[in-house]
Amino acid sequence: MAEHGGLALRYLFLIGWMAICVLPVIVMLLGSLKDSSLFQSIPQLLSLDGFTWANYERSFSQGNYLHFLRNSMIISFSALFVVLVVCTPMAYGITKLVSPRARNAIVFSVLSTRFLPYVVLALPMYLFFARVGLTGTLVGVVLAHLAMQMPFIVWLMLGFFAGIPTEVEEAAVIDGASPFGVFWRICLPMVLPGLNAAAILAFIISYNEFLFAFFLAGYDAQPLTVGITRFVGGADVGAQYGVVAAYGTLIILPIIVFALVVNRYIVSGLTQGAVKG
Amino acid sequence: MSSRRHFNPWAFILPGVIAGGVVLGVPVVQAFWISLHRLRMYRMHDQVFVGLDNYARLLQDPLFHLSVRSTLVFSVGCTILSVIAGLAVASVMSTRGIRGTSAARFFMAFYLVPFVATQVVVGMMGRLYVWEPEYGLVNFVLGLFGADGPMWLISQDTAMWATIVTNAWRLTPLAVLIFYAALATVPEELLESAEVDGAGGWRALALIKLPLIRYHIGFVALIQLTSAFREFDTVFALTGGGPGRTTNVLSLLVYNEGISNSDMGVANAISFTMLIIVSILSLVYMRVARLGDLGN
Amino acid sequence: MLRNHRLWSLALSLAVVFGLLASAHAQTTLRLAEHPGPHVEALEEYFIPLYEELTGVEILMEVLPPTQLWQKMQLEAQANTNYYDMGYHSPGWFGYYHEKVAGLDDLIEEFGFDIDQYSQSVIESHMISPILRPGEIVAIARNPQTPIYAYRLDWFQHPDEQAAFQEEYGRPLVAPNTWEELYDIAVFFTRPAGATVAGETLTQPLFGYSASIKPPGGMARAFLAIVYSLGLDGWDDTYTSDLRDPILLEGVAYWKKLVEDTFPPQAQTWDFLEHLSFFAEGRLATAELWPEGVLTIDGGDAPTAGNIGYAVLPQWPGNRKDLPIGRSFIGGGGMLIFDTPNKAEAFKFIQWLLEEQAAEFNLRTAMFARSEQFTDPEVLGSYDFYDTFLPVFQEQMAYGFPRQHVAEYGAAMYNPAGEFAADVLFDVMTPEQAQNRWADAMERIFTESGFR
Repeated sequence: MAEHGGLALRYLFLIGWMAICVLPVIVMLLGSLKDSSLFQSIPQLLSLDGFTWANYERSFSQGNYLHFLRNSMIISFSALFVVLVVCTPMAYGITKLVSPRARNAIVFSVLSTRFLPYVVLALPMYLFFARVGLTGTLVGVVLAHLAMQMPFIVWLMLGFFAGIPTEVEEAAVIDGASPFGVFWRICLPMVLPGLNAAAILAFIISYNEFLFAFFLAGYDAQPLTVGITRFVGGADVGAQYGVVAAYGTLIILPIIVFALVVNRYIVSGLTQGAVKG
Repeated sequence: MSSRRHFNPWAFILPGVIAGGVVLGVPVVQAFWISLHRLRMYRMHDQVFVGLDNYARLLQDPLFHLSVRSTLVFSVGCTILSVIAGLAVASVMSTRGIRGTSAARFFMAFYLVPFVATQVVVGMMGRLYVWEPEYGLVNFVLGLFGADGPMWLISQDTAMWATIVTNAWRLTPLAVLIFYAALATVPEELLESAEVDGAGGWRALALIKLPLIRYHIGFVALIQLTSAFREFDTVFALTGGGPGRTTNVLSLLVYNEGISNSDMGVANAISFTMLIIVSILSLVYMRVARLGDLGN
Repeated sequence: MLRNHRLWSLALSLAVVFGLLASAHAQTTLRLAEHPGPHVEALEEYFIPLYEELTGVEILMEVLPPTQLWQKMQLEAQANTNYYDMGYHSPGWFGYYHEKVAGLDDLIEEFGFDIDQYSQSVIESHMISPILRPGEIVAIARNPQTPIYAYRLDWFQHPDEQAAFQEEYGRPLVAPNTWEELYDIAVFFTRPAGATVAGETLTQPLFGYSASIKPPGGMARAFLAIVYSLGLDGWDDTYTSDLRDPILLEGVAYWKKLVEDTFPPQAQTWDFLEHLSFFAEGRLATAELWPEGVLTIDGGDAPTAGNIGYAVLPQWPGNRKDLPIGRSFIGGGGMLIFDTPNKAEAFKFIQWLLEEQAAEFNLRTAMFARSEQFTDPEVLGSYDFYDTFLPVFQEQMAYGFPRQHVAEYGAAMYNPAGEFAADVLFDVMTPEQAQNRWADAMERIFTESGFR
């Protein structure tokens, strides 16, 4: 196929797009290393004027970075495990439903809850948790994340389970495996790549989440996304832009590096279900 | 499969259905229930049934109309922008000489950055480093071309654009990924025969590839539309709804009415209305784009 | 497959480590929810470490942005978690958690706290809540304050500026007596980059006046200075709104003009006191000053230190109360104690901080509340600017508006004030529409609560 535009031109386009993707993050990273009263232009960011680690020191000391990081990790890992434990068997079961009507009905309800505005859930959850004493706790946030992630993860796993040839399972049944055994020993290992993708995506989504954490978590349970708001507003806030940048970098950089390392799982997770060859 | 009589798939599904009922069903029902009541945060024990009053008040409130409009502009804007950008990038990525190379894998890894970037941080980053009128990235780049950039987030004329671009930036990677994967499914023979007929490059894209992946374009558009419709984090951190009410999308209005003005009844009426709007949108969309049989 | 197993065992072990970390801390601690401001650094770096050293009691301070602070205190109170032991007390939001606040009378008596150090108006605005908690002291004031006017004294006294102003307005360049004069001065000083001010060429544009007006909270805080200067109270004894008065429309029209002609555009994205950093950089000629921000512009490190003049808020001629000067609400705050098992320990800390360490606290924060702080020579000698600042502060406080003690204050008055001003400023509604919307909502709220 003859492509219009030479290879070099196409590479230029792709590099340009890459710049759009990463430049804002790089600018913030550079800004976080500056004494913010000096930061007045982009070229200046590239120079060594006013270089300082002070913004990072404040992120750790006043910003209590490690405390919030610990909460972020607890929330993200707990949410990931709860979500997978609930959603994986569910997705498996759905693919095994014999009646197409039942299957369509349940797939449709999963799909439609996927579009639920989160704010619809946040207020009633807050009121409900307030009544049962779960506001301010990690449990509340994790349950909210379960609600947020369930439709997406079930959806994703459906695609992976549907890809397993039935002959494999039938052979296992003939060999005397129990239904749970088939699921646990035969099917689950076969969808392990999918499970990895689901786990990684669930982790990233929980780590980045702000609304539920903001509504439902007390300081003891607040993750990084809420912790950063400490530096928004206040008497000397003009001097705090650098700290916001440093804190923002400390939030965003680990997750970006993580995503770059496991990018093939993210790619397979996101394209599964949407694209069938 | 029906030979396995002792196997009941519902045993696997039921725990999920129950969990979903508790964490999704209960709050939705409760949202509707509260929306029929008068409930103030400072008088939590004083819940009075008012029927559809909260909805009636909303329908008459010019601010609600404004928010509905800005939410629609915002979500449609984000959808169009991210789908177009996604198609452009995925098409170039899919061209011969690039697809499948290690360079492509390298690019794709970095294209994920906006997708995994924490929304609140994206909002703050946008406000302090990207759209800042005096020293921000966008106006710096415009300045290189001799243009005098606008005030972006602090001008009513441009704030919505900047907000849409920021959110579309975050949404585009998903579109790139899905379109890239979908374009791989276009049979090579089709393209070759097109080439023989003299349709190469952009024409092949428009005439052959796009129609073949129209289903994926529809799917991505639906995902982006609904995800932008409910966006809170990015807008909250980027503009907080301002300037004035320019970017005060519905999810922010809910926050403002429910928490700041402590009117839980009206806030829940708004969020329930959002639910209705988004359900209608997705239903209509699924019919039109024939997405109903997705996932079979 | 090996890869997969490695990935999973890594995740599992990380989860276990973080789980262990989570369960690791346990010790008697007092939790304090705080508002940002100059006291935060003083507490963090001096008072809390010192108190911990002296008593062994651990104090954990959480600093939250103003809006989130009351939202969080409310959340914890509603959920009855006993989570915070102490909090920053801003009277306007007291109603949102008043049921969980400890009455202090017994503790004050038991520990011999000297309540006579506080003036009657401070007690009224910051320490009692006659409607929600009749007959009780519910908080200890720390920095009750109301905004004043701050200006660049060196520029006001510069002969070139004086001559130019005299020529243009036919009167000398001095601190304004009316809001209209404030506007003139602000317009006079609003200049583009390249122009000169006090003989020096500006590298960046100069703006005439500013406050931090991020809607709705910041906008409300700033705009209420106009509302209260108009002589309006919000509502009267029968809970009828006085906001339908046409003078409110004059006030908001003035505000729109002032903001559009003299504020830097960034002001609408600024949080509480953020504009003072801008002032200190020499980019503002005059500004609204909440006294807790005074160190930002006149403290030792500030580039503008020693060049600041202070004045009370100007009068609104024809205002409904014949006020001789302008006024805003008495804001700032105090400290309150939540009804937890730690309340006696919490009170001991507050007494130590605000009574025993009163002078030291003042030195480090420039915050005033107790009468001894206004006479203590050590306090008064600590900053040069107190000579000019304190008389203005005290005069303005005498006219400050103590907010009504109802739980509805935030929902009926404060937030809607910011929404009203923003809606008019940005032409979302006509001023009349916005006025009716505010007054209607206020009266509906009072009717719902059974006051009307």
